[in-house]
Amino acid sequence: MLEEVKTRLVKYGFTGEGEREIADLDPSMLLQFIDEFKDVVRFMTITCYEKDGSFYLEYHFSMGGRVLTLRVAVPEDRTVPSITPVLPSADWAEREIMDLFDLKFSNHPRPKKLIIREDAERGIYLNS
Amino acid sequence: MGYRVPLGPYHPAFEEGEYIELELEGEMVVDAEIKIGFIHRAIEKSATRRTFIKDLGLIERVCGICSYHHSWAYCLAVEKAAGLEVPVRAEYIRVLTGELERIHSHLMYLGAMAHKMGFDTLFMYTWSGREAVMDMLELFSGNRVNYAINTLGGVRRDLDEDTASQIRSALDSLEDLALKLKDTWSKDASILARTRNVGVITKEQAHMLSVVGPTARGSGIHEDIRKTAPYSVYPDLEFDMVVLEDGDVWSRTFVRVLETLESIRIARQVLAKIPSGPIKNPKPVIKIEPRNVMSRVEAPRGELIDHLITDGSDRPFRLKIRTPTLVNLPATEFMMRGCKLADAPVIVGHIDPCMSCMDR
Repeated sequence: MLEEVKTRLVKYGFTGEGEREIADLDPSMLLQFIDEFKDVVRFMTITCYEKDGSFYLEYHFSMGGRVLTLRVAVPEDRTVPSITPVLPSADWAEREIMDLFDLKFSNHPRPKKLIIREDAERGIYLNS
Repeated sequence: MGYRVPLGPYHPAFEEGEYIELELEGEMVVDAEIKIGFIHRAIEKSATRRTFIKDLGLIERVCGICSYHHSWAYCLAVEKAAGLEVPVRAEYIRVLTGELERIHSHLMYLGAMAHKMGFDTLFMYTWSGREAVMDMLELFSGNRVNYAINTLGGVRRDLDEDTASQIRSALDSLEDLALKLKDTWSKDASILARTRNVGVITKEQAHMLSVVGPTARGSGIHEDIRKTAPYSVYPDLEFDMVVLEDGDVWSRTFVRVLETLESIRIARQVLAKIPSGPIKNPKPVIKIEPRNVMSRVEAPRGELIDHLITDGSDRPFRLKIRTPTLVNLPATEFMMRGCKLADAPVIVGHIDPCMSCMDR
Protein backbone atom coordinates (compact mmCIF):
# COMPACT_ATOMS: atom_id res chain seq x y z
CA MET A 1 0.00 0.00 0.00
CA LEU A 2 2.87 2.35 0.86
CA GLU A 3 4.29 1.97 -2.65
CA GLU A 4 0.96 2.92 -4.13
CA VAL A 5 0.75 6.02 -1.88
CA LYS A 6 4.29 6.95 -2.93
CA THR A 7 3.38 6.86 -6.62
CA ARG A 8 0.35 9.03 -5.98
CA LEU A 9 2.50 11.51 -4.03
CA VAL A 10 4.87 11.92 -6.98
CA LYS A 11 2.33 13.98 -8.90
CA TYR A 12 2.41 16.54 -6.07
CA GLY A 13 6.20 16.76 -6.36
CA PHE A 14 7.21 14.40 -3.53
CA THR A 15 9.92 12.02 -4.70
CA GLY A 16 10.08 9.89 -1.53
CA GLU A 17 13.69 10.84 -0.75
CA GLY A 18 15.01 12.04 2.61
CA GLU A 19 13.35 12.72 5.92
CA ARG A 20 11.66 15.94 4.78
CA GLU A 21 10.48 17.21 1.43
CA ILE A 22 9.02 20.55 0.40
CA ALA A 23 6.76 20.89 -2.64
CA ASP A 24 5.02 23.94 -4.04
CA LEU A 25 1.29 23.73 -4.57
CA ASP A 26 -1.42 25.93 -5.99
CA PRO A 27 -3.99 26.88 -3.29
CA SER A 28 -6.79 25.50 -5.47
CA MET A 29 -5.24 22.00 -5.25
CA LEU A 30 -5.03 22.01 -1.45
CA LEU A 31 -8.38 20.42 -0.67
CA GLN A 32 -7.83 17.75 -3.29
CA PHE A 33 -4.53 16.77 -1.65
CA ILE A 34 -6.06 16.61 1.83
CA ASP A 35 -9.01 14.61 0.60
CA GLU A 36 -6.72 12.13 -1.12
CA PHE A 37 -4.20 11.62 1.68
CA LYS A 38 -5.97 12.43 4.97
CA ASP A 39 -6.10 8.75 5.95
CA VAL A 40 -2.38 8.09 5.42
CA VAL A 41 -0.76 11.32 6.59
CA ARG A 42 -1.08 13.03 9.96
CA PHE A 43 -1.59 16.78 9.94
CA MET A 44 1.12 18.52 11.95
CA THR A 45 0.72 22.26 11.62
CA ILE A 46 0.83 25.27 9.29
CA THR A 47 3.64 27.81 9.30
CA CYS A 48 2.83 31.26 7.98
CA TYR A 49 5.43 33.86 7.03
CA GLU A 50 5.72 37.06 5.07
CA LYS A 51 8.52 37.43 2.56
CA ASP A 52 9.05 40.41 0.24
CA GLY A 53 5.49 41.58 0.72
CA SER A 54 3.87 38.20 -0.04
CA PHE A 55 2.53 35.62 2.37
CA TYR A 56 3.38 31.94 2.29
CA LEU A 57 1.82 29.02 4.10
CA GLU A 58 3.64 25.77 4.69
CA TYR A 59 1.39 22.83 5.53
CA HIS A 60 3.26 20.05 7.30
CA PHE A 61 2.19 16.41 7.30
CA SER A 62 3.81 13.44 8.98
CA MET A 63 3.99 10.07 7.28
CA GLY A 64 5.82 7.60 9.49
CA GLY A 65 9.27 9.07 10.04
CA ARG A 66 8.99 11.51 7.13
CA VAL A 67 7.66 15.04 6.91
CA LEU A 68 5.91 16.32 3.80
CA THR A 69 5.62 20.08 3.47
CA LEU A 70 3.34 21.78 0.97
CA ARG A 71 4.25 25.38 0.29
CA VAL A 72 1.38 27.57 -0.83
CA ALA A 73 1.78 31.16 -2.04
CA VAL A 74 -1.15 33.16 -0.66
CA PRO A 75 -2.99 35.12 -3.40
CA GLU A 76 -3.19 38.91 -3.18
CA ASP A 77 -6.67 38.88 -1.64
CA ARG A 78 -5.02 37.09 1.32
CA THR A 79 -7.56 34.28 1.16
CA VAL A 80 -6.94 30.56 0.92
CA PRO A 81 -9.48 27.74 1.16
CA SER A 82 -9.89 26.36 4.68
CA ILE A 83 -8.97 22.69 5.11
CA THR A 84 -10.84 22.44 8.44
CA PRO A 85 -14.08 21.13 6.87
CA VAL A 86 -12.22 17.99 5.70
CA LEU A 87 -9.55 17.91 8.40
CA PRO A 88 -10.94 19.09 11.76
CA SER A 89 -7.51 19.12 13.40
CA ALA A 90 -6.47 22.12 11.26
CA ASP A 91 -9.06 24.28 13.05
CA TRP A 92 -6.77 25.90 15.61
CA ALA A 93 -3.78 26.20 13.26
CA GLU A 94 -5.89 28.22 10.80
CA ARG A 95 -7.51 30.37 13.48
CA GLU A 96 -4.11 31.16 14.94
CA ILE A 97 -2.91 32.38 11.53
CA MET A 98 -6.06 34.52 11.22
CA ASP A 99 -5.21 36.14 14.58
CA LEU A 100 -1.48 36.57 14.05
CA PHE A 101 -1.25 37.39 10.32
CA ASP A 102 -4.77 38.52 9.42
CA LEU A 103 -5.15 36.03 6.56
CA LYS A 104 -8.57 34.68 5.61
CA PHE A 105 -9.57 31.06 5.25
CA SER A 106 -12.70 30.71 3.13
CA ASN A 107 -15.38 28.31 4.39
CA HIS A 108 -13.86 27.96 7.85
CA PRO A 109 -16.66 26.54 10.04
CA ARG A 110 -16.04 28.84 13.03
CA PRO A 111 -13.67 31.71 12.18
CA LYS A 112 -13.68 33.04 15.77
CA LYS A 113 -10.70 34.63 17.47
CA LEU A 114 -8.59 32.06 19.30
CA ILE A 115 -5.46 33.63 20.77
CA ILE A 116 -6.32 37.31 20.88
CA ARG A 117 -9.11 39.08 22.76
CA GLU A 118 -12.50 39.51 21.11
CA ASP A 119 -12.02 43.28 20.81
CA ALA A 120 -8.41 43.12 19.55
CA GLU A 121 -7.47 43.72 15.93
CA ARG A 122 -6.20 40.80 13.91
CA GLY A 123 -2.66 40.67 12.58
CA ILE A 124 -0.65 41.16 15.78
CA TYR A 125 2.52 39.74 14.18
CA LEU A 126 2.43 42.30 11.36
CA ASN A 127 3.86 45.84 11.18
CA SER A 128 6.05 45.54 14.21
CA MET B 1 -33.50 23.46 26.49
CA GLY B 2 -29.73 23.65 26.99
CA TYR B 3 -27.81 26.19 29.03
CA ARG B 4 -24.19 27.31 28.94
CA VAL B 5 -21.68 26.98 31.78
CA PRO B 6 -18.30 28.70 31.76
CA LEU B 7 -15.21 26.93 33.16
CA GLY B 8 -12.28 29.22 33.82
CA PRO B 9 -10.24 31.20 32.87
CA TYR B 10 -9.40 30.62 36.55
CA HIS B 11 -10.68 27.36 37.93
CA PRO B 12 -9.47 25.01 40.71
CA ALA B 13 -9.04 22.19 38.18
CA PHE B 14 -6.76 24.20 35.87
CA GLU B 15 -3.19 24.99 36.72
CA GLU B 16 -3.09 27.79 34.17
CA GLY B 17 -5.56 30.10 32.47
CA GLU B 18 -7.94 28.70 29.87
CA TYR B 19 -11.60 29.23 29.16
CA ILE B 20 -14.06 26.51 28.32
CA GLU B 21 -17.67 27.11 27.52
CA LEU B 22 -19.83 24.06 27.97
CA GLU B 23 -23.31 23.68 26.60
CA LEU B 24 -25.29 21.42 28.88
CA GLU B 25 -28.54 19.58 28.78
CA GLY B 26 -29.20 18.53 32.34
CA GLU B 27 -25.94 16.97 33.40
CA MET B 28 -24.77 16.04 29.90
CA VAL B 29 -22.32 18.10 27.89
CA VAL B 30 -23.62 18.56 24.36
CA ASP B 31 -21.01 21.01 23.12
CA ALA B 32 -17.71 22.42 24.34
CA GLU B 33 -15.64 25.30 23.11
CA ILE B 34 -12.17 26.25 24.34
CA LYS B 35 -10.55 29.68 24.17
CA ILE B 36 -6.83 30.07 24.70
CA GLY B 37 -4.32 32.91 24.61
CA PHE B 38 -4.33 34.02 28.25
CA ILE B 39 -0.56 33.50 28.47
CA HIS B 40 0.38 34.55 24.93
CA ARG B 41 3.80 36.21 24.96
CA ALA B 42 4.57 36.37 21.20
CA ILE B 43 7.66 34.23 21.70
CA GLU B 44 7.81 33.21 18.02
CA LYS B 45 7.92 36.87 17.05
CA SER B 46 10.41 37.79 19.78
CA ALA B 47 12.70 34.98 18.59
CA THR B 48 13.18 36.75 15.25
CA ARG B 49 14.61 39.77 17.10
CA ARG B 50 17.37 37.91 18.93
CA THR B 51 20.51 36.15 17.76
CA PHE B 52 20.53 32.34 17.60
CA ILE B 53 22.36 31.89 20.90
CA LYS B 54 20.25 34.48 22.74
CA ASP B 55 17.09 32.75 21.57
CA LEU B 56 18.09 29.67 23.53
CA GLY B 57 17.21 31.36 26.83
CA LEU B 58 13.94 32.61 25.40
CA ILE B 59 12.83 29.30 23.88
CA GLU B 60 13.55 27.42 27.10
CA ARG B 61 10.99 29.69 28.75
CA VAL B 62 8.14 28.71 26.44
CA CYS B 63 7.19 26.19 29.11
CA GLY B 64 7.96 25.68 32.78
CA ILE B 65 7.51 21.91 32.77
CA CYS B 66 8.95 20.60 29.51
CA SER B 67 11.38 23.54 29.21
CA TYR B 68 14.26 21.23 28.38
CA HIS B 69 12.54 19.67 25.37
CA HIS B 70 11.89 23.13 23.95
CA SER B 71 15.56 24.01 24.14
CA TRP B 72 16.44 20.57 22.72
CA ALA B 73 14.14 20.95 19.71
CA TYR B 74 15.49 24.43 19.09
CA CYS B 75 19.12 23.25 19.33
CA LEU B 76 18.40 20.38 16.93
CA ALA B 77 16.87 22.80 14.41
CA VAL B 78 19.74 25.28 14.62
CA GLU B 79 22.37 22.52 14.51
CA LYS B 80 20.67 21.04 11.44
CA ALA B 81 20.55 24.42 9.71
CA ALA B 82 24.14 25.31 10.59
CA GLY B 83 25.50 21.80 9.96
CA LEU B 84 26.90 21.64 13.48
CA GLU B 85 28.03 18.25 14.81
CA VAL B 86 27.27 17.39 18.43
CA PRO B 87 29.74 15.23 20.43
CA VAL B 88 28.38 11.81 21.47
CA ARG B 89 28.89 12.45 25.19
CA ALA B 90 26.75 15.57 24.90
CA GLU B 91 24.01 13.54 23.18
CA TYR B 92 23.97 11.10 26.12
CA ILE B 93 23.72 13.95 28.63
CA ARG B 94 20.87 15.41 26.56
CA VAL B 95 18.99 12.10 26.59
CA LEU B 96 19.51 11.75 30.35
CA THR B 97 18.12 15.24 30.98
CA GLY B 98 15.24 14.58 28.59
CA GLU B 99 14.25 11.33 30.27
CA LEU B 100 14.51 12.79 33.78
CA GLU B 101 12.29 15.61 32.61
CA ARG B 102 9.82 13.08 31.21
CA ILE B 103 9.72 11.28 34.57
CA HIS B 104 9.14 14.51 36.47
CA SER B 105 6.49 15.66 34.00
CA HIS B 106 4.63 12.34 34.04
CA LEU B 107 4.73 12.20 37.86
CA MET B 108 3.44 15.74 38.01
CA TYR B 109 0.63 14.77 35.66
CA LEU B 110 -0.26 11.60 37.61
CA GLY B 111 -0.38 13.58 40.85
CA ALA B 112 -2.51 16.30 39.28
CA MET B 113 -4.91 13.71 37.85
CA ALA B 114 -5.31 12.11 41.29
CA HIS B 115 -5.99 15.58 42.70
CA LYS B 116 -8.62 16.29 40.00
CA MET B 117 -10.42 13.11 41.03
CA GLY B 118 -10.26 14.08 44.72
CA PHE B 119 -7.63 11.44 45.56
CA ASP B 120 -5.25 13.72 47.46
CA THR B 121 -3.26 11.01 49.25
CA LEU B 122 -2.10 9.67 45.89
CA PHE B 123 -1.44 13.21 44.72
CA MET B 124 0.96 13.92 47.61
CA TYR B 125 2.58 10.51 47.33
CA THR B 126 3.23 10.92 43.58
CA TRP B 127 4.64 14.39 43.95
CA SER B 128 7.13 13.21 46.57
CA GLY B 129 8.73 11.21 43.74
CA ARG B 130 8.67 14.21 41.45
CA GLU B 131 10.57 16.17 44.08
CA ALA B 132 13.31 13.52 44.00
CA VAL B 133 13.63 13.87 40.21
CA MET B 134 13.88 17.63 40.46
CA ASP B 135 16.65 17.20 43.03
CA MET B 136 18.49 14.97 40.54
CA LEU B 137 18.13 17.58 37.82
CA GLU B 138 19.34 20.29 40.16
CA LEU B 139 22.28 18.12 41.13
CA PHE B 140 23.81 18.01 37.69
CA SER B 141 22.36 21.02 35.89
CA GLY B 142 22.25 23.45 38.81
CA ASN B 143 18.58 24.32 38.23
CA ARG B 144 15.22 22.85 39.15
CA VAL B 145 13.08 24.15 36.29
CA ASN B 146 14.85 25.83 33.38
CA TYR B 147 17.96 23.67 33.45
CA ALA B 148 19.89 25.77 30.90
CA ILE B 149 22.06 22.74 30.17
CA ASN B 150 21.74 22.86 26.37
CA THR B 151 23.82 25.06 24.19
CA LEU B 152 24.21 25.16 20.42
CA GLY B 153 26.49 22.24 19.57
CA GLY B 154 26.43 20.42 22.91
CA VAL B 155 25.75 20.85 26.61
CA ARG B 156 27.09 23.29 29.18
CA ARG B 157 27.78 20.97 32.11
CA ASP B 158 29.50 17.63 32.34
CA LEU B 159 28.35 14.68 34.42
CA ASP B 160 30.87 13.40 36.99
CA GLU B 161 30.94 9.91 38.52
CA ASP B 162 29.82 11.10 41.95
CA THR B 163 26.68 12.71 40.48
CA ALA B 164 26.05 9.65 38.28
CA SER B 165 26.09 7.30 41.29
CA GLN B 166 23.71 9.58 43.22
CA ILE B 167 21.35 9.54 40.24
CA ARG B 168 21.64 5.75 40.02
CA SER B 169 20.53 5.24 43.61
CA ALA B 170 17.75 7.82 43.28
CA LEU B 171 16.48 5.92 40.21
CA ASP B 172 16.17 2.75 42.33
CA SER B 173 13.84 4.37 44.84
CA LEU B 174 11.98 6.06 42.00
CA GLU B 175 11.39 2.69 40.38
CA ASP B 176 9.79 1.41 43.60
CA LEU B 177 7.45 4.37 43.57
CA ALA B 178 6.61 3.92 39.87
CA LEU B 179 5.81 0.24 40.43
CA LYS B 180 3.49 1.15 43.31
CA LEU B 181 1.80 3.70 41.05
CA LYS B 182 1.39 1.03 38.39
CA ASP B 183 -0.32 -1.16 40.96
CA THR B 184 -2.60 1.61 42.23
CA TRP B 185 -3.57 2.91 38.78
CA SER B 186 -4.44 -0.57 37.54
CA LYS B 187 -6.42 -1.74 40.58
CA ASP B 188 -7.89 1.11 42.61
CA ALA B 189 -11.69 0.99 42.32
CA SER B 190 -12.29 4.74 42.56
CA ILE B 191 -9.65 5.51 39.89
CA LEU B 192 -11.14 2.94 37.54
CA ALA B 193 -14.66 4.25 38.15
CA ARG B 194 -13.61 7.79 37.23
CA THR B 195 -11.47 6.95 34.20
CA ARG B 196 -12.70 3.76 32.52
CA ASN B 197 -14.83 4.39 29.42
CA VAL B 198 -14.60 8.15 29.91
CA GLY B 199 -13.66 10.38 26.95
CA VAL B 200 -13.28 7.47 24.55
CA ILE B 201 -11.78 8.06 21.11
CA THR B 202 -11.06 5.29 18.64
CA LYS B 203 -7.84 4.88 16.69
CA GLU B 204 -9.44 6.34 13.54
CA GLN B 205 -10.82 9.33 15.45
CA ALA B 206 -7.42 9.88 17.09
CA HIS B 207 -5.82 9.95 13.63
CA MET B 208 -8.34 12.46 12.31
CA LEU B 209 -7.85 14.64 15.39
CA SER B 210 -4.06 14.38 14.78
CA VAL B 211 -3.37 13.84 18.47
CA VAL B 212 0.21 13.06 19.52
CA GLY B 213 2.18 11.53 22.37
CA PRO B 214 0.53 9.53 25.16
CA THR B 215 -2.87 10.83 24.02
CA ALA B 216 -2.37 9.06 20.67
CA ARG B 217 -0.63 5.99 22.10
CA GLY B 218 -3.50 5.49 24.55
CA SER B 219 -5.76 5.12 21.49
CA GLY B 220 -3.65 2.46 19.81
CA ILE B 221 -1.57 4.70 17.52
CA HIS B 222 2.01 3.44 17.21
CA GLU B 223 3.88 6.69 17.11
CA ASP B 224 6.69 7.87 19.32
CA ILE B 225 9.17 10.24 17.69
CA ARG B 226 12.01 8.55 19.62
CA LYS B 227 11.18 5.41 17.62
CA THR B 228 9.48 6.55 14.40
CA ALA B 229 11.81 9.45 13.55
CA PRO B 230 14.76 8.79 15.88
CA TYR B 231 17.04 11.61 16.92
CA SER B 232 20.09 11.89 19.17
CA VAL B 233 21.30 8.49 20.51
CA TYR B 234 17.85 6.91 20.98
CA PRO B 235 18.55 4.24 18.31
CA ASP B 236 21.38 2.93 20.55
CA LEU B 237 19.16 2.58 23.61
CA GLU B 238 16.69 -0.18 24.38
CA PHE B 239 13.17 0.78 25.35
CA ASP B 240 9.63 -0.11 24.38
CA MET B 241 7.03 2.10 22.82
CA VAL B 242 4.06 1.95 25.21
CA VAL B 243 0.79 1.60 23.31
CA LEU B 244 -2.63 0.77 24.82
CA GLU B 245 -5.70 0.14 22.75
CA ASP B 246 -8.69 1.16 24.89
CA GLY B 247 -8.74 4.87 24.00
CA ASP B 248 -10.26 6.06 27.28
CA VAL B 249 -8.91 8.38 29.97
CA TRP B 250 -7.55 5.42 31.91
CA SER B 251 -5.51 3.99 29.04
CA ARG B 252 -4.02 7.35 28.14
CA THR B 253 -3.08 7.87 31.78
CA PHE B 254 -1.70 4.38 32.19
CA VAL B 255 0.54 4.90 29.14
CA ARG B 256 2.29 7.55 31.19
CA VAL B 257 2.68 5.25 34.21
CA LEU B 258 4.41 2.66 32.01
CA GLU B 259 6.46 5.31 30.20
CA THR B 260 7.85 6.46 33.55
CA LEU B 261 9.27 2.96 34.00
CA GLU B 262 10.68 3.00 30.44
CA SER B 263 12.33 6.36 31.10
CA ILE B 264 14.00 4.95 34.22
CA ARG B 265 15.28 2.10 32.04
CA ILE B 266 16.69 4.58 29.48
CA ALA B 267 18.31 6.74 32.18
CA ARG B 268 20.08 3.67 33.62
CA GLN B 269 21.42 2.70 30.18
CA VAL B 270 22.68 6.23 29.62
CA LEU B 271 24.61 6.14 32.90
CA ALA B 272 26.10 2.76 31.95
CA LYS B 273 26.95 3.56 28.33
CA ILE B 274 28.00 7.21 28.37
CA PRO B 275 31.35 7.56 26.57
CA SER B 276 34.06 9.99 27.57
CA GLY B 277 34.95 12.92 25.37
CA PRO B 278 34.13 16.57 24.78
CA ILE B 279 30.69 17.91 25.64
CA LYS B 280 30.52 20.78 23.20
CA ASN B 281 31.44 21.58 19.64
CA PRO B 282 33.58 24.73 20.00
CA LYS B 283 32.43 26.17 16.65
CA PRO B 284 30.18 29.18 17.32
CA VAL B 285 26.91 29.74 15.48
CA ILE B 286 26.79 33.30 14.23
CA LYS B 287 25.16 33.55 10.81
CA ILE B 288 23.28 30.74 9.06
CA GLU B 289 22.82 30.42 5.30
CA PRO B 290 19.21 30.42 4.01
CA ARG B 291 17.72 27.10 5.14
CA ASN B 292 14.29 25.66 5.86
CA VAL B 293 14.60 22.96 8.50
CA MET B 294 12.34 21.16 10.93
CA SER B 295 13.18 19.31 14.11
CA ARG B 296 10.92 16.97 16.04
CA VAL B 297 11.36 15.64 19.55
CA GLU B 298 9.14 13.49 21.75
CA ALA B 299 8.35 15.85 24.63
CA PRO B 300 6.51 14.39 27.66
CA ARG B 301 3.17 15.42 26.12
CA GLY B 302 4.00 14.30 22.60
CA GLU B 303 5.62 15.44 19.40
CA LEU B 304 7.14 18.91 19.68
CA ILE B 305 8.03 20.60 16.39
CA ASP B 306 10.38 23.50 15.74
CA HIS B 307 10.24 24.80 12.18
CA LEU B 308 13.13 27.18 11.52
CA ILE B 309 13.63 29.33 8.44
CA THR B 310 16.91 31.23 8.19
CA ASP B 311 17.86 33.96 5.70
CA GLY B 312 21.65 34.30 6.02
CA SER B 313 21.51 36.71 8.97
CA ASP B 314 22.41 36.13 12.63
CA ARG B 315 18.80 35.60 13.74
CA PRO B 316 15.89 33.38 12.71
CA PHE B 317 13.74 34.65 9.86
CA ARG B 318 10.81 32.60 11.18
CA LEU B 319 10.57 30.16 14.04
CA LYS B 320 7.35 28.21 14.39
CA ILE B 321 6.85 26.12 17.51
CA ARG B 322 4.08 23.50 17.40
CA THR B 323 3.60 22.21 20.91
CA PRO B 324 1.79 18.91 21.61
CA THR B 325 -1.00 20.60 23.59
CA LEU B 326 -1.90 22.64 20.52
CA VAL B 327 -3.25 19.51 18.83
CA ASN B 328 -4.26 17.53 21.92
CA LEU B 329 -6.41 20.20 23.57
CA PRO B 330 -8.83 20.79 20.65
CA ALA B 331 -9.37 17.03 20.64
CA THR B 332 -10.83 17.32 24.16
CA GLU B 333 -13.64 19.47 22.74
CA PHE B 334 -14.58 16.37 20.78
CA MET B 335 -14.10 14.02 23.77
CA MET B 336 -16.24 16.15 26.09
CA ARG B 337 -19.30 15.98 23.84
CA GLY B 338 -21.62 13.45 25.42
CA CYS B 339 -19.83 13.24 28.76
CA LYS B 340 -21.15 14.24 32.19
CA LEU B 341 -20.31 17.67 33.60
CA ALA B 342 -18.26 16.13 36.45
CA ASP B 343 -16.05 14.35 33.90
CA ALA B 344 -15.25 17.51 31.93
CA PRO B 345 -12.31 18.67 34.12
CA VAL B 346 -10.91 15.13 34.14
CA ILE B 347 -11.11 14.94 30.33
CA VAL B 348 -9.45 18.32 29.84
CA GLY B 349 -6.86 17.48 32.48
CA HIS B 350 -6.02 14.01 31.22
CA ILE B 351 -4.22 15.19 28.07
CA ASP B 352 -1.86 17.02 30.46
CA PRO B 353 -2.53 20.44 28.92
CA CYS B 354 0.29 22.92 29.13
CA MET B 355 -1.13 26.36 28.49
CA SER B 356 2.15 28.28 28.52
CA CYS B 357 3.48 25.89 25.88
CA MET B 358 0.38 26.27 23.83
CA ASP B 359 0.05 30.05 23.91
CA ARG B 360 3.77 30.73 23.45
